[in-house]
Amino acid sequence: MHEKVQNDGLILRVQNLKKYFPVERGIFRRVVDYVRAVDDISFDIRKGEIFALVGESGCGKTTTAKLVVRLLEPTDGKISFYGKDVSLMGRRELSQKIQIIFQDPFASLNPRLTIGTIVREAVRQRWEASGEKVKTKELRQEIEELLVQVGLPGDILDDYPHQFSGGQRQRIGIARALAMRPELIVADEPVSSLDISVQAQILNLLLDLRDSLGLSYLLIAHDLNVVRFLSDRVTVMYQGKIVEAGSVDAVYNSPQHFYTKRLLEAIPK
Amino acid sequence: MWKIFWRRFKRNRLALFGAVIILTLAVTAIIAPLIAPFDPNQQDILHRLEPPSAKHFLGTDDLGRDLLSRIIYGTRVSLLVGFVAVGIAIMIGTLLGLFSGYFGGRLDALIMRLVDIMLCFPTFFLILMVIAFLEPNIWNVMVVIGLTGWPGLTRLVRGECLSVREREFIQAAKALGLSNLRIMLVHLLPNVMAPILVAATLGIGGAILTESALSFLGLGVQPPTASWGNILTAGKDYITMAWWLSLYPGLAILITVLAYNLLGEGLRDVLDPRMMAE
Amino acid sequence: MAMKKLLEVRNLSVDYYKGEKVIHALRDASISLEKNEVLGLVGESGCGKSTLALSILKLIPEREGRITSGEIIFRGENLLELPYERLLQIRGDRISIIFQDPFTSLNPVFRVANQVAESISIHEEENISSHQMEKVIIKLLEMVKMPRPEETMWSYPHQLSGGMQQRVMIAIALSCNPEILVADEPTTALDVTIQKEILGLLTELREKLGLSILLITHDFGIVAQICQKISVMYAGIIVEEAATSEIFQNPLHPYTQGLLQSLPSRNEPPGSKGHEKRRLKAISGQVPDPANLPSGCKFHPRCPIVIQECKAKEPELREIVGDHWARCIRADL
Repeated sequence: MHEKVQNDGLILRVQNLKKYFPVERGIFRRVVDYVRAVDDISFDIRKGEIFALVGESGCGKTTTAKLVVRLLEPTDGKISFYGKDVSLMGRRELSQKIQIIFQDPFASLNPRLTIGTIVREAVRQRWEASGEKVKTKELRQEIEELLVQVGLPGDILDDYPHQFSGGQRQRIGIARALAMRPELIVADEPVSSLDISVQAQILNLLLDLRDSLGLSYLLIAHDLNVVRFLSDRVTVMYQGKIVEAGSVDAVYNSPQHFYTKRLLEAIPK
Repeated sequence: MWKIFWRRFKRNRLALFGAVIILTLAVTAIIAPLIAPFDPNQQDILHRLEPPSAKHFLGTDDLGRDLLSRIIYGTRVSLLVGFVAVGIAIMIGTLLGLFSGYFGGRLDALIMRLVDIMLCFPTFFLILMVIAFLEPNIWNVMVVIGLTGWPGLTRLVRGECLSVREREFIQAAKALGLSNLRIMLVHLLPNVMAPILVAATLGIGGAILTESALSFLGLGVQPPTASWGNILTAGKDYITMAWWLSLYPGLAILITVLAYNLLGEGLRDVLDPRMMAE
Repeated sequence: MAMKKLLEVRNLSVDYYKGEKVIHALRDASISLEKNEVLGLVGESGCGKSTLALSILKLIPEREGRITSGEIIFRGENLLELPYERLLQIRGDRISIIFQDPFTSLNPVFRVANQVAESISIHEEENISSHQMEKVIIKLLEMVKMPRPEETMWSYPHQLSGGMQQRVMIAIALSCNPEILVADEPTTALDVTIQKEILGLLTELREKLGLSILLITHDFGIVAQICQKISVMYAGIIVEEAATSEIFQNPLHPYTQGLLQSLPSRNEPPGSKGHEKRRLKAISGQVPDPANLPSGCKFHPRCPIVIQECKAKEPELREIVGDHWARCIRADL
């Protein structure tokens, strides 16, 4: 088991992040208003921790996830990875530092590509980015290792996504993300679409990977039980703003903001 | 994946029928020298305009050439034109459609306006004008048909791109840091194949008709090379005396185009969205 | 005192046809719903719970699936053998159903008022004037706690939030005062705060109207909140059935036990957050392919206490303790 030191630097720092979507009207598409999806939020993630962003639909957590991975460009604000401004990094460089797992295991894998191709695209990318020459046999080996690492058999390279269950597809998605050897993984509702028994397996897997690979997670979720189990610190979002933040124990045991209280009360049982 | 496609394809009677005919035509074109009873260009003035007989199954034309042989060799022309013209149209249409649908914004607007403009022109007259300036031969014909046939496909491909582009597996590819070109060609393209395949098969039928019309008007394939269209040119002058000169090439065109259309329609049924559902 | 069984599903089997494969979605499933009771049907995807719900009102298209055996007894009649007209009378009027996604269940081109009115006018015998109908609709919407019903009734579905859409669904379902409401994952698509309101609403309606509810879900939290009895489904058949408190305190079937153990809410990590996080006790393997079920007990490949006999024959559902049933040969107090 590795020693995890939490105080050794902030792996991610988000400062005054804003994302406004313009609302256009009329045939000339005049901008009349803005949807303030993310409205001036700031938070830090320490290395090795699992940091959760919770809230209900429309609160801006998914938008934040996309901003961190730069699938969207912020309207304002700064995101830094170990102090380095993310907008100054090339797309390739960023993809080797931060990766993302998606919610819907059915939509996150290309239905027309084989599993081997899906994961190979990621591994190739990493090889090319680090200047290594692509060697077929080692490539295949690495793909198989990745699949085994997420709990799948290594011989599924020629199969297609539709042949697998939701939980298995989610594992493939995780393998793809791991192929880039990232240090931070943004997990956007990683278990929301899964059955309870599968959910437990994936949650265990995420924890195992965290320990064996020294990963940090930005967890986006709406299921407060999952968040409580998995995370170290949690931040509550509402309509684009942060309303409460703190360690999981603090927030769950003594919520301060009325919305947090409402959320916690609404958990059945 | 393809197994499912194949199974469903086999069940679709129309598509199967079309496919069989096309296969037969393709084989005919390839082994033409082996099955044609006569040299298609061999003239025999003594026996011109003879009706169908045991010697000349479909009769002879105005220069005594065997009609059956000419029609068999004409298959080559039709198929060649079909594939090359549509091949050109598909390449242009797919690329433009992909760029348009994937990038959106100004590029999309520009390409779509281009498409709109192209669609304003009556294609056939455009082709006539161009051929009139250039020399009428089979290559020019193919290229021109191809260059005028892409707008419709562009729209279709763009439409598919717009819906697929937002799906999470494309976002995942972007997050991997893959280049846009790679995402378009490796990740997006296989998912937009369906309209392309359908447009291709239907397009071949259309291309053959256009070539036949051009050849009929004397602006396409030039004699002595046999094309179903230019056989009809001769046929029209002798239509009362030698009906076989018009009937048989006409039938050939009809059957071929019908086969492609059936195949195209069948493909449309067999392919998405049901394929996605499985 | 014997409770009157309002609805009884007996040995229901349903097959789906996909290409050449036959999928046994339901195999000999039986449940019973008493008057004024909320029964929770719990299971994961593919277990057959939605199939069961749809079968009650024969809502499965002939092309896709067929009920191969069993009966559904409602008020002395077997619903599966009723003539079509009689079935139409019962649908919406005596037994209503609401679905998971209200947005796709409501017709996007009709206003709310019209959709509610449609249900009423089909089932009512006499003609109702439009003025009266408006009043009825407003009362219904008030009953489901719709804000400003006089205005919202004229909205189109897309103008309403998810919670409001679901209230409309409930209003339509209850418009003819049915005896049974079948709710298929009614809150899965909703936020957790709205979910709480909708569940509260359902409980209130049960009390006020004497309604019986068959609630289908995969969420144990929900059933804990409003159900009195729970039936657990696995691979097309019921594997455990008992009162809610019994299920949570004393689950007898290994699958139920496994499910409850995998819930993150039941795995409170130790007080201070160390890096040593406890892992969830997950059930190994995955749900079997309904077209390719294992032999004997369908859960045996994943069962922690499996023995040789489990592979041979599928166990019967037997009463282990008073009114607590489990389908396992090793289930015991």
